[in-house]
Amino acid sequence: MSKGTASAIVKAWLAALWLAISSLGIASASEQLCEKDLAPGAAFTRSALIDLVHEDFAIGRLDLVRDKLYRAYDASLTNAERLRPEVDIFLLRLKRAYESVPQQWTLQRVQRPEGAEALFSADAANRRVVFNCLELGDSRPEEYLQNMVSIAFLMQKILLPRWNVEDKKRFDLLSARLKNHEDLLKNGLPMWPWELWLNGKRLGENDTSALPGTQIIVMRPSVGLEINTRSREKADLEGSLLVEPIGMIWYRKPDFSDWIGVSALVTSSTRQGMGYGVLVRYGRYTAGLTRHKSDRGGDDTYLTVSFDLYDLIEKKRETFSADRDRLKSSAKELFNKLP
Amino acid sequence: MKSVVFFVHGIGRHGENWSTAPDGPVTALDKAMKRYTCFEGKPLSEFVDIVEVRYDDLFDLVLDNWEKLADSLGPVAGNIPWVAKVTSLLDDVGGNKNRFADFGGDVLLYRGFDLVARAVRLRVAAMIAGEVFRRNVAAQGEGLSGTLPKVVIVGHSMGTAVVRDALWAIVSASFPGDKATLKEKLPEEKWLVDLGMLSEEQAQKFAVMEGTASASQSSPLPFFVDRLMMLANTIPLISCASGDYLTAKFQNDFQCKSITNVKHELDPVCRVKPFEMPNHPDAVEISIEHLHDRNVHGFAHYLSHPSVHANLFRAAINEFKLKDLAEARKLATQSEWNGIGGKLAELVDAKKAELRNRLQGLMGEGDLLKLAQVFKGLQGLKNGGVA
Repeated sequence: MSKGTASAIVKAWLAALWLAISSLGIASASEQLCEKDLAPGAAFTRSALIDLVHEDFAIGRLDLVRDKLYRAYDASLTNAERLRPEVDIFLLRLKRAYESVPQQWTLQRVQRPEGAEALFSADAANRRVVFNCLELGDSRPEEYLQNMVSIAFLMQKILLPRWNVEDKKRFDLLSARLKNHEDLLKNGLPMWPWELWLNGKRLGENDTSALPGTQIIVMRPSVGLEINTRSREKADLEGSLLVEPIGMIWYRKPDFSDWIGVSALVTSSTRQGMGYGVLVRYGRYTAGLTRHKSDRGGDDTYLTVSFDLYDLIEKKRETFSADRDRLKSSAKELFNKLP
Repeated sequence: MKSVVFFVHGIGRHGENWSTAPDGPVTALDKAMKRYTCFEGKPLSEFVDIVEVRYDDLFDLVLDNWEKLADSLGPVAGNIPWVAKVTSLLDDVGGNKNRFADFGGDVLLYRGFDLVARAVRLRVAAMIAGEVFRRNVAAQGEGLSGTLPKVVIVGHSMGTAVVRDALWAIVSASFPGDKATLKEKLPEEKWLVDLGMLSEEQAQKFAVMEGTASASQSSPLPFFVDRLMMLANTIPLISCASGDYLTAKFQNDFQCKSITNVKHELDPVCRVKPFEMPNHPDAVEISIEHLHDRNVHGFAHYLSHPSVHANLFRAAINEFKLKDLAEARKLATQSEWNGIGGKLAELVDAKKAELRNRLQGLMGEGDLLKLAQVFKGLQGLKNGGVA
């Protein structure tokens, strides 16, 4: 036998084998039912089903795809098979396939009954197609069941493009909301625990609702400088403890990095005692006016200035104290240079 | 397409690659896989896509903010006594984040602060939804051949509550009416690329497809999970979602296709407020009582048990067949998996009894305070061991 003839025989043999396998409808290794390769009838192999529906699928006519699959499966059933409850469930699902989502058409190993596999997720009445693989032993499920699973696998892919379009919107929404929340925690005006608690109570019930564009300020302590506007010789650049009993900020950027706000203000310093007034906030900077009891009778008005020091801390936590002292002396120098 | 398995951690700090750390769940599963011939000695990553979910950095972000706020007041905080006390406390908490977390501080942040809880839920939700979406886009690229990947989620301790809440966030995501604001804040196609979810090429293909699609969304979309495993369930105490994903339905179908709840008879965490199994046709509870590590509550300790890892393998790996399940069942009946074994096998009887007593001492139902006491007790056991 010549080399060429031998090669031709091998090729012919392989082709015959391939045809035999194709006609049996053996599917790829990932397509299994009860731990054996899926073996639908010749008309229900994946390639046969694709041939049947690909034109309608290409033009987005899922209704026609469904109708063709329904008719093909219905026509393949014997009278006895048509009376089986699982066929009834499947045909009902197939009829409504257009309203379903791909993940409803998966086959999964279930826990109850043990060793079983099930097509579709259970509903309250547990109406799904269950394959009791343990009972089957070495035998395969019947062909009408293999055909059913083959159609279900194809249906996952038929419904997938439309599903992905919708799912992308959801993913975009979740990602956007996640970014909003992380931005607020990272870039927004940091909240003391009680502020974080209170502002959390303002969120809507749904996690994907937009965040409020405002933030409530409550009992917020910070450090500022108070300057007596009447008497420069009494100017005291010692830090005062400012407490904002109540206030509000309005965020001006979607990434929560900029805001304006207004708050009631109470100050406490060692020399001037308690003061009260109003504070306005512009980004990291704040300015306010407070009234303190004057030594000369009546009230003195103080200018209060401050900025959020935690930014500095973030940059240089170790050198923060030195930076703060340097900043304070610079402010004092600047003030003294004023005419 | 490979199944995708998500691991969601509990309390404590979890760095990158925490799942493959020596006490991580993947390490425990890799070790367990060596017992079964069907895996031919290959690791878990050969059979499934592993996704570890992290959210503890959000807690750190909040604690960092508090520490900075406290520091920013400096010595003037002393002017008002309550401010001084608060700043001292926050400074202490911020400076000892790991300790705070080990004693259940994460639980307090999650349950006590809605804004933090929501950020955590959104983080986990976006991660799970994004990873599944990415695979579905890849599956679409295969045309009409192939099948969809299976989705398996394993939550541990606090992670059980977080993942339940996050899944509810996914299925209740509601966007009609908010599209305009969303579009303003969202440069449409760039998002998926920026987040590493899609390649540029995939995003371009997707844009074309999206342009030709006519479907329009009017109600929340479902999200089907093939198996949700909950180890050391804390849902009754910690979960704070407005709905229950475990029984959520789409067109009468349960979106969570099957549920496995695992409790350890000697783990006090799942006893503080026991989880009641939902009314679900494929919900199963597994009870284990092996003692192979001082930290009976550990993620890896749970997964090391044949009844537990076999359940996961069965759900996610086709190669793990019924005969392998039978092998795992047989293994689970051995004394090693019903008592002392592993690291603890060498303990003398007196120490065994003492450990049991200490764990029994932590048992009991209660509230969040009780849970914090339990975490503290467990931490003591983990660090100090049995005297």
